[in-house]
Parts: sequence; structure tokens; C-alpha cells
Amino acid sequence: MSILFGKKEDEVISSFKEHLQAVQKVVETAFKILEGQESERESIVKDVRKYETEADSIRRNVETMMYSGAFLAHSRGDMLGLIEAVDKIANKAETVSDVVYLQKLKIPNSLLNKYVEEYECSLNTYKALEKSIETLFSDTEKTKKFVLEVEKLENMGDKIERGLILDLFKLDLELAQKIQLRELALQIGDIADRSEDASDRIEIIILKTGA
Amino acid sequence: MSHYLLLLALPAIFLGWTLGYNNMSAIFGPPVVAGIIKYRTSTILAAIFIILGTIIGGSAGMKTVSSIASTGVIMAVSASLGTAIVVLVLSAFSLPVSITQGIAGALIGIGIVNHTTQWGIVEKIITMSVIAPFGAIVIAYLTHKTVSVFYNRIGSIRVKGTFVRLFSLSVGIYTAYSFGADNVANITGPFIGAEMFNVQQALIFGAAAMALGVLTSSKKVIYTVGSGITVLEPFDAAIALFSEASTLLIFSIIGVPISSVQAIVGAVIGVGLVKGTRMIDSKTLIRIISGWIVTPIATGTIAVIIYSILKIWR
Repeated sequence: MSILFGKKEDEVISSFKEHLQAVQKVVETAFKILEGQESERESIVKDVRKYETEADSIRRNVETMMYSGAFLAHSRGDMLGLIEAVDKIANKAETVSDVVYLQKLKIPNSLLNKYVEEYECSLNTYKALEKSIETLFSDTEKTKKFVLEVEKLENMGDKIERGLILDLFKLDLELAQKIQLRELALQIGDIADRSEDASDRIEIIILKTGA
Repeated sequence: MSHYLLLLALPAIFLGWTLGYNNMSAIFGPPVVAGIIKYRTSTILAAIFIILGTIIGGSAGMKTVSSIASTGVIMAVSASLGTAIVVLVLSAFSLPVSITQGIAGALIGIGIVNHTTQWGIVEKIITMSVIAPFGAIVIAYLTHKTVSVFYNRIGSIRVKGTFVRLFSLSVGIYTAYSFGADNVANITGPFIGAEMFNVQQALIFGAAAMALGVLTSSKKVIYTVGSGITVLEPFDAAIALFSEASTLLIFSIIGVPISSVQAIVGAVIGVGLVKGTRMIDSKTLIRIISGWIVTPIATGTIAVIIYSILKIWR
């Protein structure tokens, strides 16, 4: 009877939200590495890894619950695709923190604000995605608005990223350092890109559940 | 009941089994293929409600059929066995078969041999075979267009899922119940007239045979109906099933009994047409229609052969 009246679905939805929050924690923690002292980087990276592992564990739990009968079989694949797409955002945030920590990256003061601005934009893109997924289970009209918001913010992030790389290559730095810093800008931009990839999946879910 | 009579009752049980085996596609076929309900769950539910439908609502038709067929137990055996064989063969080709059409073909065949065929009835059966799917197409098309307006207003994908699931389950259960009540007379009814069974025995044997049939039902036939004709999303599958049930109900109210298989195939086509004619797989459709044309001819031929053998043997 629980399959009919959605007890399992309640559990999945609640775990879905828990996963979204865990991923947000990863993205926010990784953000700290940009402005943090070099001495703090190791502990930030450790935290990021810990939170990313937690998010992974919640995702696996959701997958198991979903295959025990929550939602129509037809939409399960799409839902799993969505949660995996969200999980990739956490992986990307982890990569950003690793790039800074492992390569002992020095961000020039003149570019720091732009990196922060780019990361903030990626974080906001993720937050819009989070809202779009939360409303998917209650009000798909709102979901559509948040999906548009994700696209808008991702475009904005692209502009910031291009401006940042343009400014970077105007600086008098070693080519190797420029390439490292460009890599960082691209990785931060990928957080927004992956959020948009996840939002594309939401659009498909909405289309497929329509008549 | 003598051993001889029991032997003669076996074809009826065989027919009941093939009926469930093939026609499960018309009870829960589309929802199973669309992933709304698991195959095993659907067969158990269908079996339970076929038994209930047979026991509670099957006796009325039973009396009518038994009085019609009171004089011809050999005829009933030949028709049952001939139809069951043809249904089984066509099931191997993954084709949904109308049992009503099969039995009609068999009785017509024997009628031709005995010079007792009432051609007026033949004409009526052929007309029904054409009207039934077309009626279902129209009903399914209109139902889809109407219900989708309300369905699309549901804001939550979760509520949509629950709606589709409950809707399909309730319609499937209703269809299984009616299936049992409507078909048992065709299976064991003639044997009451021959005083081989009393009404209760006939109902129990009929119910058990059909229930066993759906429990072992052919997945191949289910998939022909649920995905061979067109791609059905969960909502489409629920509407197809509802339209089949509505078509059967409407036609029974106006006094024209039609085949549930023809109704479900028509309903699936109707739902597919909402998305455009390109969504219909014409090859599968031609195979199904060919099966419908072949059914009465094949059952007629086989029934005549069995009838002739039994008459000589007796």
C-alpha cells in the first residue's frame, strides 16, 4: 500500500533534498579555498572530501530506495540521471579545491575578486538548480522558472569566465602559471555548466510526465 | 460425472486457460509495459478479480448460454478445443486474439457442416468486429484530449505518478472483474446444458481456468499490445485502459457485446493518434488485423475437423 500512497516517495524526496544540501555544503566549502590562507588549504580540502563522500553515500541510498519501488519505473531512470548529474557538481567543486591545493596555486590579487565573482555566480547557479529540483515534486510551473534562472546564471558565469581569462593573459606572469590559473577559471565555470546539465534533465522529466 | 464427460470438459478448461493466457494483454497490458505496475503484481490482481467477477457476476450469462447450447455438447467441445488451439498458436506469434470471434468462427464452421448457420448472426459478428476497434479509437482519442487538459494542470510529478498508478489499478481491476463475469459463460456455460456441471461447478472451473491463464500469461502478447503498436507513456497507458473499459461498457449498454482485445487495440491506436499517425507501427497493426481475419477461419476449420472426428468416435 505504501507504493500506492507514496511513503517510499516521501523518503526518496527527503533524501533527494538531503543530497542537494550535502552538495551545496561541498560547493560552499570549496569556495573558501579561494580566499583562504595557504595554511588553511589542507583542512579545507579535507572538509571538502569529507562532505563529498557524505553526498555520495546519500546518493547511493537514494538509488537503492528508488529501485525498491518509489516513483513510476518509467521515471526512475530520469530521476537517477538527475541525482547523478547533481553529484557531478560536488565532484567538480572538489576538483577546484584540489587544483588550488595540490598545485599550490597563487592567485594574483588583481584577479582574486574576479575568481570570487565567478565562483559566486557558479554557486548561485547551483542554488537555482537546487530550488528547481525541490519544486519539481510540488509545483512544476515554479520549476520551469528556476530552470530558466539556471540558464541565465550559467550564461552570466560564462561572461565572467571569458573576461577573467582575457585579463589573466594581459598580466605579466609565467605561461605555466597563466595556464594553471586559466584551468582554475575553467573548473569554476564547470560548476555552473554541470548545474545547467542537471537542469536540462529536469526539463526532460517535465516533458516526459506531461500528456 | 463420468470419465467420458470429464474428458469432454477438458477443452473448456483449456479454452479458459488460453483466454487468460492471451487476453491478459487486454486487462493490464499497457500499464505493465509502461512500468506502472509489475507483471507479477498485475497477474495476481487480475487472477483475484477474475475469480471474484466470475463467482459474483458470472451466473447470469451462464444460464443464457447453457440454454442456447443445451443440445450440442460435441459442438461445444469442438468449438472450445478448436478455439483454444488457434489462440495458443497465435499467442506464439505474439498476437492478441478475440476469443469471441474464435468461438463464433468455430460455431459457424460447424453450422455450415450441419446446414444450420444463421447468416444474420454471422453478419452481426463481422459488423461488430469492425465497429468495436473504431469505437475504441474514437473514445480513446477524445478521452486523451479531454483528460490531458486536467492532467497537465497537476503541478507535481509525484501527484501525476500517483494519479496514473491509482487510475490504472482501479480500471485494471474493474476490467478483470468484468472479464471474469462476461467470459465464463463462453467457457463452461455449454456444459451446464449438457448436465455435466451445475452452475456453481461451472463457475469454479471457469474461474480457475481463466485465473491460471492470467497467472501464466504471455508477456509477448502483452508487449505487442503495450509497445508494439505505439509507444505508450504511463499517462497514455492509463487512458488506453480506461478507454477500453469505457468502450466495453458503452457497447454492452447499447446491447452489442464486443471483444476486449479489439477494444484495447483500438484504444491504444486512439491514444497513439493523439501524437500523430507516424507514431503508429503499421506493420504490427497489419499483423494483428491479419490475426483477427485468420482467427475465425482457422477456428472454424479446426472445429469442423474435431467435430467430425468426435461424431465418428461417438
